[in-house]
Order: sequence, then structure tokens, then C-alpha cells
Amino acid sequence: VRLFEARDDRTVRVLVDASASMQGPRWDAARKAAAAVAWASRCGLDRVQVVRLGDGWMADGAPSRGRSGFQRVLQLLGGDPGGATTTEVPPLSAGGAGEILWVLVSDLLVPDWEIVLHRLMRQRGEGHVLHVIDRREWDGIGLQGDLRLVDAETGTELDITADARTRAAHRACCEAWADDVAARCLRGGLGYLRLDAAQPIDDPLIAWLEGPSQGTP
Amino acid sequence: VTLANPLALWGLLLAAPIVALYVLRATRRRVRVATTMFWGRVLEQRRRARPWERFRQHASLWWQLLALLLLVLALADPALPSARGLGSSVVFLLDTSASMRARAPAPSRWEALQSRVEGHVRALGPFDEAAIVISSPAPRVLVPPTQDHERLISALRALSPSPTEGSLLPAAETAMALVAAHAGRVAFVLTDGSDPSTAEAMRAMKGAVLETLGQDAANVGITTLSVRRGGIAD
Repeated sequence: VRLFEARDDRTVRVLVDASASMQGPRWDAARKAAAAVAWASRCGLDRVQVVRLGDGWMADGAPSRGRSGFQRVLQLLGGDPGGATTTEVPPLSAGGAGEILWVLVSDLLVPDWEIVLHRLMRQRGEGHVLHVIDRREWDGIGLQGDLRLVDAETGTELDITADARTRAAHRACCEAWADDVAARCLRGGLGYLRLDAAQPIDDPLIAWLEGPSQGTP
Repeated sequence: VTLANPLALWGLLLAAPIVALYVLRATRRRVRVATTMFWGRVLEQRRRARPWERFRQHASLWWQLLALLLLVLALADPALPSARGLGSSVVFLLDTSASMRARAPAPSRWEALQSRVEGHVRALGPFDEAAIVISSPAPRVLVPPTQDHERLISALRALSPSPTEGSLLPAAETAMALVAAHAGRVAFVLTDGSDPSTAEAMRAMKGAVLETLGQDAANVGITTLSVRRGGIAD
């Protein structure tokens, strides 16, 4: 397994976006993915730390080995997401001079998503982005007629008249944006995996954990 | 464009409560979404591609305002003066000589003239003006140029032909003086045409339109009366 090859001194940091935009199926998919990465890393004897990103960040403790600390991970990933997406990146290289591997699990639904990625790219070590999306939301399912949309993070309100054409345009806009994110990650040397919360994520996640995983499923 | 009832335009003020009611009434279902970022982009794209899109979502308001506008305009009774037929300023030169009393056509030439002129006056636009000049017993301006059409009609109804004969030519000079005083003003000469030479002269006048009434008929009446002193022979 690529991520969990025996290394003498490797620290794996899993950054989980727990901002308000992650509410719903995305949050379920994100914490499932984060827990899977943390568990597999602990099984591989890496030192693992899970960091929950919300209005700031909160870790499950110092990076540690073994399965015994996994309960703390589950506690950290409990509860509902909330707050705004932070563009501040925790110090990923802290905790030793060994190899660093970090995994960001996020929807990246923030206007400054490129700044977030840029800051992560400047960090030492190997980086991966698990991009959690929800195609049902892209399709605007359930949105019809005159609506006032409220942004979960900023509270910004937007009046729209949702019809088939508007929803199709929204889907196209989201797909173009997600492709931009993927391209930006790959250009910056980051691994990228897109996880659709509207679908079971097990297979793509396991496939990514097991082998070369550059690109989208 | 002229308005017969310009006060009706005050009705446009009703747009304010219509807009207020629309704003107060408009309630949209609030939906919480992860981000409005992409919806904002979609709206912006559509507005750029089709600028009228921003108005489409208020279509019911625009229909209400359009209905109000049409209603107010209908009440204001707009009209194009030239479409009313006669023009913006008219002088009616009326032949008021005794021959207008003739009863051909029935009931009389004079009543036919009154009916014709009244029809013309009623066809005028609200801001069109008209004057009446009469020929007998002496040429004079009966009603000077005015937009008060009711006054014109009242004067016309109160008028009756003179018991004397008269020529239209002196009155025509008076009428044409009024025509000359206002650009675009025209004279309508209404006569029975009993004096062919006068009628011919009228036709030759620039700015004058001749309308003849009546038809030829044998005169029946006392045209000469001789009075002598003395008794009546048995």
C-alpha cells in the first residue's frame, strides 16, 4: 500500500475541513475518508495526527503511532461542522525532521481556495487533496422557482429563479471549477482524488489508498 | 401628442403603492446552501449574455406597472392633432346671407351648415383652435380664435342667417387676415354658392377650403313689395 509502506520516521497529517459548507453528506464522506486514512496510517506504523479545520484548527493530540489512539480521532471527527473555512494552514512540518505526508480532506468551497492550495504547496513533504463534492448539490436538486439562497458559511443571500437552464448552468460551472482545482493540484505536485458524497466513496478511496492515485476517479 | 385629460397622468402615482405592495408581498423560500459562489457566477453570466434576465424575475411587477400605464394613458386620451382631420387652427367663414334660409336641402341650408360646422368643431383636437367669421349683415369676427370648442358651438347655435343679402368677399378678407396671422391656419368657407363669382374667388384663395351646401331650387317668396298711399279699390 503506497501510503503505508514501512518508513522509519514518517508523519502523516490528515487535515479535515469542518467548516459549515461541509454540512450534510459531504461531512459524512469527509470524516469517513479522514478516518480511513488515519486508520491505515496507524496500521502502517506511521505517526499520525488528525487536524480538524473550522474557524481555526484543532488536533487529536501530538502525532502518534498505533491503533490505540484511534478513539481520539473518532472523537475529533464527531459533531457537526460549522464556522468558516480557514485559509490559514497549520504548521505541517512540526514534530520532527522525518518525512512528512499530509492529506487535505475538503470541499474547498471558499473563494480563496487557490490561496489555501498555494500555502499547502509551500509546506514540506508530500501532499494530497481529497476533494469532497456533492453532485446532487451541483445539479441543484430540490431547487425550483423563486428562492433566496443563504450561504452556509458567509450568510450571504442571493435571490435566484431556479429553472432547468439555471441548474444546468450551475452544474457546468461547478464541474469547470472542480476541474480547475484538480488541474491546480496536479500542476503543484499534489495528489488529487475527487470523492462524490452522492455516491459510495469506499471503492475510489480504497483504490486510491492502494495505488498510484493521481487524478480523478 | 396632445392629451384631452392630462390630469389623468396623476394616476401614475399609483405605481408607488404597487411597487411597495410587491416588495412587501415578495417572499422567497430561503434555502441554505453550501456556497452561493457558483450561483452568483451563473446569474452574472446570464445577465451578461441576456441583460433583460435581471428583469425577468420581476415579470409580474412589470406587467402590473404596464397595465397601470396603459390605463392612465387611456384615461388621458392622447391624440395626434393632425389625425383629427382639420389641423391645429381653423377659421370658419360662414355665409349668413338670406339665401341660407332656403329649405333645400331640408330642413334648411342653414341647419345643414350648422350641423357641418359643429361636426368639424367636434373633430378638433383638444388643443386645436378655431374662429368663426360671418358675412352678413356685416362681415365680422363672431368668435375669435379659441380652444374653447363649446363656446364655438354655442355661438354657432345662437346664430341665424341675416334677412338681407350679402357678399362673402368682404368677410373673406377678414377671415384671410386671421389665416395670415397664424402659420398653418386654414379657412373653411361654408356657403350655398348662390353667388357663383364669389364661390370662384374663394376657390382661388390660398389657405381657403370651400364647402358648398344646398342645391338649386326655385325661389318661392315675396321679393319686391310696393306700397302706395290711398285706399284699396273696390
